[in-house]
Amino acid sequence: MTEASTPDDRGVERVLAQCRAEDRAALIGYLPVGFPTVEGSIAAMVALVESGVDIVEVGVPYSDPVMDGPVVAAAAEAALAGGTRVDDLFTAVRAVREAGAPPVPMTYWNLVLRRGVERFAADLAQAGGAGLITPDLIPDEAADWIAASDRQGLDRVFLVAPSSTDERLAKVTSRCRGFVYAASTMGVTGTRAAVGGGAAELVRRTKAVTDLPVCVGLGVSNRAQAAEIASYADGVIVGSALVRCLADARELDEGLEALRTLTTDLAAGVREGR
Amino acid sequence: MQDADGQTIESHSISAGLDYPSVGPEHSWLRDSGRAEYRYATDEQVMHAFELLCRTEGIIPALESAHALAGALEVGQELGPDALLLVNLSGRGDKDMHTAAAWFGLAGGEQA
Repeated sequence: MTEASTPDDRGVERVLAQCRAEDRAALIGYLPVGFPTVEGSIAAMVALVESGVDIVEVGVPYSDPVMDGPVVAAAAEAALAGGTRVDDLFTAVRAVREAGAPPVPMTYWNLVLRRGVERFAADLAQAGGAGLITPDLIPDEAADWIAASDRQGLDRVFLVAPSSTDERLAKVTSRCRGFVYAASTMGVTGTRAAVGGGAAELVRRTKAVTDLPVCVGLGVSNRAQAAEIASYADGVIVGSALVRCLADARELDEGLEALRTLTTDLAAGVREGR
Repeated sequence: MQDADGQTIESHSISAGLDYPSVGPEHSWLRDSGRAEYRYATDEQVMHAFELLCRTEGIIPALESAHALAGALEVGQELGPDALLLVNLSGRGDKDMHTAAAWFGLAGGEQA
């Protein structure tokens, strides 16, 4: 990977533009590396891609997952107990890239700090990663990451929330590249009966200050919700509902089957919202 | 405290307020700049200091503060009887009665 590579080469911008051309939202699927095993999680991520996910949010299990609800937190805990290491992330990223979708890891910042921001960015680029979603890094403290991601041509996805002021939205989105992650509600990940009406308003306010695609996460679990969000957002991010397919299965094949069924359903949802 | 990947390592302390695998930036700075010296105390040392203050002064210290008392006992022995020590007793220990009772075997069937 040379330093001449541009963010376009990483695929996120291209995929989201393609979705826009098809007049639909993108489907972004989250799964953590190492759950139920490293190999099993990679098989599951590949299944996502084969079943219609456009971008894979590859989760890195972390011991203090402050943005995650019970389903993802339990999966991360199991992954760590099973011996999952940060190195396994890069193996998963390679597999997702080979399966044909841009991999965008979601990681808590201490894991990047510990490895070294520069080294993490280089390893990620080398593995074929498209960028990073950084839930606990605010742009105000991201100078090192902004420099390293510029050098490696990696996307930077910071989060905005219903509590973000318009001024804050402008500042955060100006540091983003690839897309903006809009947290639908004030809270942690996990399926919800209804995604708050605040999500549409947040997307509207975000789009008023940036031309970047805005993708909505937190609480999406079914086709109807995916369709609803697809009516106003550029991407629909699903996590806990996918993780639950694996958590509820007695064996991996059963989990992969459930994952394919749900993903196919969600992929239909993001195509019928408009 | 973290491992090679940056994963948090679980801590233990008899004092719930200190059972946290990290150190605040101010303390880190004071230590690194040499303006303060830091020591640790084991649960045994802490509970000894806790009991000593209760028995000699009738003051029940918080378990967090009992760490400072344990440190004061050490420093006092190093500096000798003429030394003047100032101890910051930062909190009261009535909140810690259940922990102390379990430690000293006074909690009936509810030992920790």
